[in-house]
Amino acid sequence: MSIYQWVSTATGYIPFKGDRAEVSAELHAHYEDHVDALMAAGLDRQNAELRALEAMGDPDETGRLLRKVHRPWLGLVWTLSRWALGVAMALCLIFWTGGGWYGAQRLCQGDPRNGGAFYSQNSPLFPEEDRMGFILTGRGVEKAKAGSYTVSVENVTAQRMIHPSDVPGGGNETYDVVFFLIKIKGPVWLDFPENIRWFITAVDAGGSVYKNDLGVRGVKTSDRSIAGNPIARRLGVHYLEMWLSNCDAGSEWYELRYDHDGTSFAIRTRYEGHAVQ
Amino acid sequence: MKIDKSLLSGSTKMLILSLLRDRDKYGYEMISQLALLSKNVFDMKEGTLYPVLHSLESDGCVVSYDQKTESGRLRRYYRLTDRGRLQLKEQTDQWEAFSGAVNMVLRPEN
Repeated sequence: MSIYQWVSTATGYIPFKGDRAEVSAELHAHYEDHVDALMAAGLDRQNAELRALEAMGDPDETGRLLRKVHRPWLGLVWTLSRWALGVAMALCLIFWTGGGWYGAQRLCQGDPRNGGAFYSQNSPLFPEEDRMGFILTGRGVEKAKAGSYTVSVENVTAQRMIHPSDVPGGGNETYDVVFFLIKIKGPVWLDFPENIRWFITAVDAGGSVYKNDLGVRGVKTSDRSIAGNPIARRLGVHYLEMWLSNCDAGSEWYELRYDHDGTSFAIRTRYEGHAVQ
Repeated sequence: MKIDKSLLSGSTKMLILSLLRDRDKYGYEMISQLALLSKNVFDMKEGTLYPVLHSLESDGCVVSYDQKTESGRLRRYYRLTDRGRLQLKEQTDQWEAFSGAVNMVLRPEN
């Protein structure tokens, strides 16, 4: 019997195959150490190998003892836990960096720097008679603390909406809407505070106040109003989209304000190229 | 002198833990030291050392790690953990009480 047969016989008793390679390597290393020691003591290689192999004992006895220690369910649990950990890490990575499938898709579509495919005035995806076009884009200039959360405006976008009039023969109606992409960062163990959108108001540079009318996006009302929707939720970083209807889209700045239940903040935003007052 | 294997089997784990008391060791080193210290009385078959080591590892008494020798051979070293140290102390105390009692019966004149 060679050492390879010996090791193969002994490790063949281990039910969990994943353990066999490591145990084989360890037994081989032991044998080699013993051969080296015997040769250092003066034996030739052939005799040293014979003595070292004999000293290993009965491979079946060793194998039966190994089988008791290396239980298959332990190996199975180990393998499954590694897979579960890998899948969990992959999911965390996707949702941490991408904002989730919906969030990633939505943010990409709405970002004018990415072509804004959905909103592009010339997009073939959008009906010719019902278009929106970007007229100004900008970004937030401040961050605000709200309890354990940090709130900031990632971008502000003014869009010109062109709709066919509801009145027969009324032609097209044109009005401007200003959109805000609001980022809310917080501890991973806290939920998305999406309901803050019901209590956010806005003021523009001309002093006009926009209050939440619990309205629906795209509905033109006679009053100036602000409304919003949660658009992406991920561990510790969430996004809200809010918009001003019937607004002065040329305002140099807008201030989003929140004051409810003992928490308050204000964030001023501007368009690119406009100074903050 | 050859001894009855059953006398050794109950104390194998204690002996191996005691070999790791001072520093980390690999399998062949442990076997050699065991033979040397016991003057070849504890002549265990070398293959059977590993099931004992793996059992001690799954019990948390030792941890293992791989290290390459200068010749490039990979050796697995074992290190005594706090739990292993505690177990060694308990087993040593039991052994001393047991062997003392056996001696008292075998040699009542002492």
